[in-house]
Amino acid sequence: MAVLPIPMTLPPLILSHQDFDYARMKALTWVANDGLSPKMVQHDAGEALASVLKSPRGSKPFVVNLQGILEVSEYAMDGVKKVIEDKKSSLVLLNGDRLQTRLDAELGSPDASYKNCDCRVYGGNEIDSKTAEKIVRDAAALEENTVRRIVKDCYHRFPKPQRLHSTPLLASGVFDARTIISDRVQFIWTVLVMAERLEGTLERFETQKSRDSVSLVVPSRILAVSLRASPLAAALSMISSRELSVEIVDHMGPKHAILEEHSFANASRGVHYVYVGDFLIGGTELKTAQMYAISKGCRVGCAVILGHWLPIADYEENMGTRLTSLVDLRTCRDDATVQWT
Amino acid sequence: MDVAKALNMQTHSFLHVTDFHIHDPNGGDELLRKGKYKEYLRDLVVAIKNAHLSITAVIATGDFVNFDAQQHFSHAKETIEFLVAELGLTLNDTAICLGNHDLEYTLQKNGDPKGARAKFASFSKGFMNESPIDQLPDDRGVLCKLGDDVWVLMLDTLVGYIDGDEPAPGPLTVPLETDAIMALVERVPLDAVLVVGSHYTVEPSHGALAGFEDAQDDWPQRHIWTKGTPLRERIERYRKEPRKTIWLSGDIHREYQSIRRNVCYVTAGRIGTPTGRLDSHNRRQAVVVEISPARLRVHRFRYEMEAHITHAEYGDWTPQIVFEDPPRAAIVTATVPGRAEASGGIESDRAALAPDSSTSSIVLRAKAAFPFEILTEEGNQTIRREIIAKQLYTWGRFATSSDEVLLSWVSIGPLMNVPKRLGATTRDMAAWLRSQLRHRNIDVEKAVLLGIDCWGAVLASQLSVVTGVRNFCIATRGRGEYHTSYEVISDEVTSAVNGADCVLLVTDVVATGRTLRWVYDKFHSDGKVRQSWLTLSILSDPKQPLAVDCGFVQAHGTACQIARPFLPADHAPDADLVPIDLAMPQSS
Repeated sequence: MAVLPIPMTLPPLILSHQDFDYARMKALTWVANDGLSPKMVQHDAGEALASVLKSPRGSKPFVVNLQGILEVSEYAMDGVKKVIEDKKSSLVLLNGDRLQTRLDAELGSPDASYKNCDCRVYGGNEIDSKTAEKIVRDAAALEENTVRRIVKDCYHRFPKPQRLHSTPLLASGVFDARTIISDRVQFIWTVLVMAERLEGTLERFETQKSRDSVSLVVPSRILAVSLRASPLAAALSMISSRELSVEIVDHMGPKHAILEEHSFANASRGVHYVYVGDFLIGGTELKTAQMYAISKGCRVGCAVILGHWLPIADYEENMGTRLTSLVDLRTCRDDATVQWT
Repeated sequence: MDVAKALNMQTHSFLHVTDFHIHDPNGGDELLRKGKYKEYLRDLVVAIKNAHLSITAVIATGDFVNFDAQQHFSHAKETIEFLVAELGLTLNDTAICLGNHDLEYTLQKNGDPKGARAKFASFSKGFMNESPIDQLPDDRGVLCKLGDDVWVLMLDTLVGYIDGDEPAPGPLTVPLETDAIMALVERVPLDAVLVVGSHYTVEPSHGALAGFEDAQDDWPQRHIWTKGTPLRERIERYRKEPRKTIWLSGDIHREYQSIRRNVCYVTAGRIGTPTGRLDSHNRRQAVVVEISPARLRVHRFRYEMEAHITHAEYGDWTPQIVFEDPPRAAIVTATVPGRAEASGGIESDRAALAPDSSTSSIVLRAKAAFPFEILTEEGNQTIRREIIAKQLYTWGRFATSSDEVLLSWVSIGPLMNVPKRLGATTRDMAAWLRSQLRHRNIDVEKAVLLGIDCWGAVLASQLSVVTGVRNFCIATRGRGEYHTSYEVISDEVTSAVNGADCVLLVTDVVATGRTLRWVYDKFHSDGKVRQSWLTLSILSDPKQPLAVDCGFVQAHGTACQIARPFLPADHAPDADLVPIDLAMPQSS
């Protein structure tokens, strides 16, 4: 039973740049829709956006990324439209091209529209094409820096170097994904950025498949093989624009212990997976997942993770799978070390 | 006269029925057919009376006939006349509205909306709608008054729709038409009860799952009155008093209820339609909404057919209170301070919570049964169907501990992989969680979710996103032996629990209760309880005695009730007789 007003504690879901404030629409819909239909903007999410626009923020434009939003309900943007009409805020919508008809119906024609960067501007007369392109670049950098900071802050330094459980390397500390999962805002931002990278990876698969006419299989199921990867994997399957099912194996890492062996009896065959994991150091967990897949006639076609230690090419060559990682852990924490002795 | 009595005098109960879909009254596969409707509806009335509900009025929200059977309006009326007579009422105490099947759509499409409603208008004679206090020129809104404190507004949500090949929710012009309807609403005193009835729901979350199950791409456009959103928002903002406004709808043949601001939205499942179809598992039902200044209750009466679903012969009406505002009091089970009961012996008696005289905290040594609620009946039935359809329930021998042997297993992964299942479960769990916190006056910041193992972690993280309650994923299988220190109960988790007023354990399945108890004991080695402990699961069978004492659980919400029998390990046949399907590694 949804009860209004929804306690969304929005401000932490807004990122601040010197030139604009920024949010992902999907973060608002994910919360406002109670986890159901995060790809659709309904009235509650629209009201939440409107209330943010009305809140005192100075004169900076507000940038909303509509990536992954597939539908905007009627009257969902009533409040937003009013704020724009009252000139209380200027609004910049990114990645709204596929929603053009609905946005025009809900908000009217934008004051400016820049197709080259898929940007629509309402009430922002000073935003020209160059500025719009800069906003797009800066927004992407803002997200990247946010995730980078989130990952950096989840590092726990050991009193003295310890052997990792998964690959017996000597590490000065550990990047703990539970810290991220436990913090709602960090979790939301991390998953949203992961989702975008995942979709980009799968699009490249499709492009290659259609271009080269190879018998390439686009991965269609997410695979998680650890406790901390499970929430990431399930969240991705839920909010991704694609229909991706999720398979959770308890568990292959960091400490390998398969706890439901009987479930393997009916395991699927011929599936191409997207491995979703938290942090890859030696790569043991991914390798184990790949062997698990191969042993039942499946394959890990690509992997999406929060952070990596070794060069990506090293993992890809050894695992035979494409790897997308949000953060290079070596550059993220210069006090982190991993070595054999 | 005491307050309780005074309040009871102001209690009104409204029987909501919808979607009769009379098709062939002389046939054999409808519960509302000539030869069956009297016993079917009389049984409903008996069930209502047994629930001590006295009906003020009946609200019927359309689809009285099937679109290709509009010659049977007379039989539909006959069934309603019988029903209200059994309740001691008349047609004049019954309000109706048009459904898409009641409309001669071709006429409307061709520019004759009045002609399209002619048969329905004839059917409407004798109902409350015929003597309105006020109405709009196109009958889009009809306002009736039942005494000073009860008003009924019936809306025609099909007015103006001419776009598709089949009828669908119609447009609503802003502000002309919304102003016109609001003018009717504003005639209702704010301290009087207002019942709004419409065929299509105006609450989008009500149909969120049904759209997928019916596999129609444009389902929301066909079944949700999204054009009514401005009207809904205005009514919600105007009618601010709690427990004064309810909005009843049908059409989607599913049940749901929600509160937005202070308006309670109830969607009822169908009371009719032929049996023996693919969707026969969606049980027929009727709803009673009981409303007073102090309390609002939604009672669902579902018809459980005993006979084979291919013919509609006999069944029983089963009542359930599915929602209360304010929420129902939590069941706290405890004994007076004394020796704890040994595990394995579950007794059913309960005693009052008693403070420990030696300290200011309360010592809770519980010994009672497991208080539980099914989150939603819709979810319960849907999950059961998916378990059956995908053959996810396995008999076998599953040694999850050294003390018990589970006799069955349900694969949670394939179950949660149904599109929207995870989202729906999150939504239902979130609603329950908010209700529990509200009842206990606990702020979101003072609660913490502990997601047990992989699927518990998944759900806890989702709940954290939508509710703002902090969460931690913790591994319990193998009691930590197979996980790193960052995956088990750590100092950080302990600190969060100690600082919380409410702890919610989220898990996939509750069978023996042993894991819940183990987690709880990790934080209460001194036996002192400082928080409310609640649990959420996808599957559980609260009717089954647990293997261990889980009386610390003050409330348990489960998405699906399903039997998970187990035996004490020494009662199970030896492994060479019945091989072990699963041996969960255990530490002490």
